[in-house]
Amino acid sequence: MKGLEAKGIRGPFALLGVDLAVRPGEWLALLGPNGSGKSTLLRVLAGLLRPGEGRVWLEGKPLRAYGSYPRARLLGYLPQNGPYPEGLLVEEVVRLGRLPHQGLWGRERREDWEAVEWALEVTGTAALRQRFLGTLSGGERQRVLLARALAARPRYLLLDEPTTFLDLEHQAEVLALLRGLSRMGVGVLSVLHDPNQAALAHRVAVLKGGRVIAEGEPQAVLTEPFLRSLYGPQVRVRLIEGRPHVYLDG
Amino acid sequence: MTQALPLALRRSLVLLWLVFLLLVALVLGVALGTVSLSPLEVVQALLGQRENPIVTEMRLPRVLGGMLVGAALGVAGAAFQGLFRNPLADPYLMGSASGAAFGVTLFATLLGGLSPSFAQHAVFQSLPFSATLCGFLGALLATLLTVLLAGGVARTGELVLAGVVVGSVLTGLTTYLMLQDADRVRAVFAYTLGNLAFLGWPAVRLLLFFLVLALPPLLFLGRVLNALQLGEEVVRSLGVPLTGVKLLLLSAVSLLTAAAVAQAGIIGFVGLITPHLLRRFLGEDYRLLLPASALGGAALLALADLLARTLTRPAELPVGVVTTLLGGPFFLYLLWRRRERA
Repeated sequence: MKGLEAKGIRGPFALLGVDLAVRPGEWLALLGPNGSGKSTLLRVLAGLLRPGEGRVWLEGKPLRAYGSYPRARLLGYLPQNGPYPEGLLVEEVVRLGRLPHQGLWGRERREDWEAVEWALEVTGTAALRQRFLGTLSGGERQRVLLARALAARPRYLLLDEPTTFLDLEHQAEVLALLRGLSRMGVGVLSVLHDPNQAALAHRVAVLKGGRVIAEGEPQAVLTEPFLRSLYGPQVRVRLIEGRPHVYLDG
Repeated sequence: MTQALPLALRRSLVLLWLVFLLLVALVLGVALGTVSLSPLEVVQALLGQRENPIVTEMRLPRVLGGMLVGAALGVAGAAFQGLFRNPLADPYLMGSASGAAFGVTLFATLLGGLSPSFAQHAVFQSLPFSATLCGFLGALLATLLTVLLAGGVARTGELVLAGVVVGSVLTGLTTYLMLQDADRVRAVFAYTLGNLAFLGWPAVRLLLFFLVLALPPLLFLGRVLNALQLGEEVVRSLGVPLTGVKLLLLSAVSLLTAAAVAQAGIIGFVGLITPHLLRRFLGEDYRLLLPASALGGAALLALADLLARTLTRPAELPVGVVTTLLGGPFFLYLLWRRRERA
């Protein structure tokens, strides 16, 4: 039973009965209008919010049966637009990602350093290691925060709008990184608000009114009739090389 | 955070500079007074080469005790700012110092922990161990009340506002308790304004004891304070038992505040200014910022006490007046800079 699964999640807040699963090696994009409960669902899956009803399963065991550190070793979480310490070095920030393996009082071991090096490498932030976080561009900073979430070498990565506030170039970098991570076997679940970005994922799930109303491969979900019902009549979809491209008529 | 020097070198230089400042403050603090001593005499007395009771019995405990009070306040301020992710947090502004003062006074008046001659300096010198514990409870409860009134720690403005309200009410209650006895009026002012004049060796020993007790957990949790700057959700997602950690941090900070307040009264702004100045040169790594704030707070308060003793010679100002005069404008500057940025 590999995977991170939400079953019958009802509450807190907007969630009205959600079933959703992400498997290792898969990139699942979660779409949906504002207020549909995407971030809430992500927090429930990360074990940060307790569901009113229903249960989250992690590799065949209820998430709540895990201790906090074992859970944190399996699940990496990156919130949307969270605070960040301007006066902390990039390397220090990424090293904080090893807390799940070290605990509060533990010491750093060789595998901790190796994991930090790996996270800096994959995110392309190794050259920034001695810079203060406050001196980086938005895109660089986002990659560093992603490296922090990766440093624990989690099997699943939960990301809340990782491309918001990034310019096009950095959006592309982050999305390519997510695809690469899923190729390495990480299960990636990313909340995205741009359907064109979601089209790059392996699967797309759409949350509306507290329920998953559509789920499947991008070309099956991101059709013009469906997106019009979701976002309004001005939405157009064109398939280019089999991939849906969404734009606005106007 | 200028990048002119390599970071490691810059950090070492700042720490060396702080140690140098401490030594200067020590020699000057011991030398100055109604009977002035030459620096040579001071060094000889400090090294035990020549007996000098003025040095060993009067000035040295005051200077050392003042440094310990400053260290406690500096660390408490840095830890508060990290814990609440709030650059304006400090034991004074959060109401926790007033809570400690209230606890100590309550102990002194209601529990009869002090003799009737509360106004006499000698009593201050030996405010007992249990007074600090009452102060600790007062500081802890006052801080929790402030956070509760502000509706959470993330709201900077509300937090400071709530802290000022809690602090004022508690200071009012403290004054009321003290004024129950007219003889105590002088002590009231000496105490609530913050004063190092009453520090003797017993106070130094108590301060040292509480610093040794409260510092290690704070230094150990420096990494978690770093992680907290990424938000509480991230810390929890890393598996850290956040409630326990916060309670431990809050307890350690309250203990430091109470230890300082029980011996020296309410001394404002040391906990605000010290970490702010140091963060500029050292960055925001709390594993470094906390011990540096101990050194910085010690130096700052020792130097402020020099001013308190010399500005209006032969009379003395309470050192709390000096730190408030320095800290008030600094606070305004911080507010102004925040507005400029926003």
